[in-house]
Amino acid sequence: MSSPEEKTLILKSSDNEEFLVKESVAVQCITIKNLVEDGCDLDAIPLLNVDSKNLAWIIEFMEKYADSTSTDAEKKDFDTEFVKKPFNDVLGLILAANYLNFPALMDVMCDACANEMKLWSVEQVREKFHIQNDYTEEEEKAVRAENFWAFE
Amino acid sequence: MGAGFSSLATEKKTVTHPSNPNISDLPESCIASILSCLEPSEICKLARLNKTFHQASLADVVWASKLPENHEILVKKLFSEEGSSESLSKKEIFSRLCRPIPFSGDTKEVWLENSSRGICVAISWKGLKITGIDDRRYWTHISTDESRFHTIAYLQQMWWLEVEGNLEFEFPAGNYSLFFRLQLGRASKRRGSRRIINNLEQVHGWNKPVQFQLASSNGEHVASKCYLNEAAGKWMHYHVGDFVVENSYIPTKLNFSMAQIDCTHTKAGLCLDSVFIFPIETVNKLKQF
Repeated sequence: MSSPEEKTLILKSSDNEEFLVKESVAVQCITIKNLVEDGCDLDAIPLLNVDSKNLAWIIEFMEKYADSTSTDAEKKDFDTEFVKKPFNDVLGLILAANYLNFPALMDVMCDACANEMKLWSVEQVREKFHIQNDYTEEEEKAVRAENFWAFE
Repeated sequence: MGAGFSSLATEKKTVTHPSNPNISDLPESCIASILSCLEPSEICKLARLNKTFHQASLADVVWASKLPENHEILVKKLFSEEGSSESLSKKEIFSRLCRPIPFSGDTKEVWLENSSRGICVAISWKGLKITGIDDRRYWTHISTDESRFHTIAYLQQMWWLEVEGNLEFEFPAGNYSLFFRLQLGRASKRRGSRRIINNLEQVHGWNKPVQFQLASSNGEHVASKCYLNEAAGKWMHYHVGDFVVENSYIPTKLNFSMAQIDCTHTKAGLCLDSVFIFPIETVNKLKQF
């Protein structure tokens, strides 16, 4: 039986690929941490909502953040490169981070998404990111009026 | 199998994770997390995108980090007529704090500086103790738009200039600077006219420095001397000193003053508007000091 620090987990993606991860790294995902603390003794932990593409990225991120030798500056550089992905992949990682309850990844990916969206006007955001406007003109005017104070 | 496993398997099963997701595929909680990363004006702009974004923009989690840590105390102190803070959303609290809120009658105002999230306070001359202020031989009170309180005090002539103030306020932890807003020379503006005439002939007696001092309840004390005659004809913020607040939950007590009581000469031609207290980050951002 390996000592607790070296215990590894098998994480299985939705498309049945298996990834070996140290437990100390994987518990950055609170969902996995809760499973481990509940005494889960499965051979592999199935992550039904995370495919292998996303899981590989998530493990890359987890390992960087679990590395006690990496400085804040190195993590920041890593984040800058890590988020350089197609926008749909950024969203996919947000969904996965949400599902796995991984706060550090959630923060970095949401920040990347926010930075992308804030560059554009409302109409441009709708067009670029295919967002359906379900407001009537009056309703949209009401929202604008409600928030006038933010632009003073 | 433990409860944890079944929760991973069944929780969020209703949220399908498409292989090529769109923003519209994100649950409201994720959109709220994205909005939390933005500035207030950006959040309010994106709230117009659709109903989900609007709903997400109202979430407390989006605004909580933008409020000072002691905002519950500030709400109790400043919004006493409006009911308890439990009934107000974090967004509502933020939007109200962003705009100047009078307190202590109409002699003081407090607001949350949008760009730096710091609490700022302005105290009108009406909230200060000024020797001889009601004696029309020495001081006149002038209505003007040049002050946020719409009034300034003008010193015609006096041997004894002494202005003192006190403030007790729950400043959030941080570093702050205190300033007197002063002008030498009386600017007069005829109603409806934009022309400002600066009457500098009446200005005299400022060749000796003015003493400023600031003491705070955490034991700090600053005293300095400054000549006022460098920028006659313009409103200037004279920096008195800085103070540190360590505990957001205990009121900070401040005592501050300016004085020129050298009786060998009279002083004349000073406009006194108010005292300002800004967080140091705001001072750096506004760059007008």
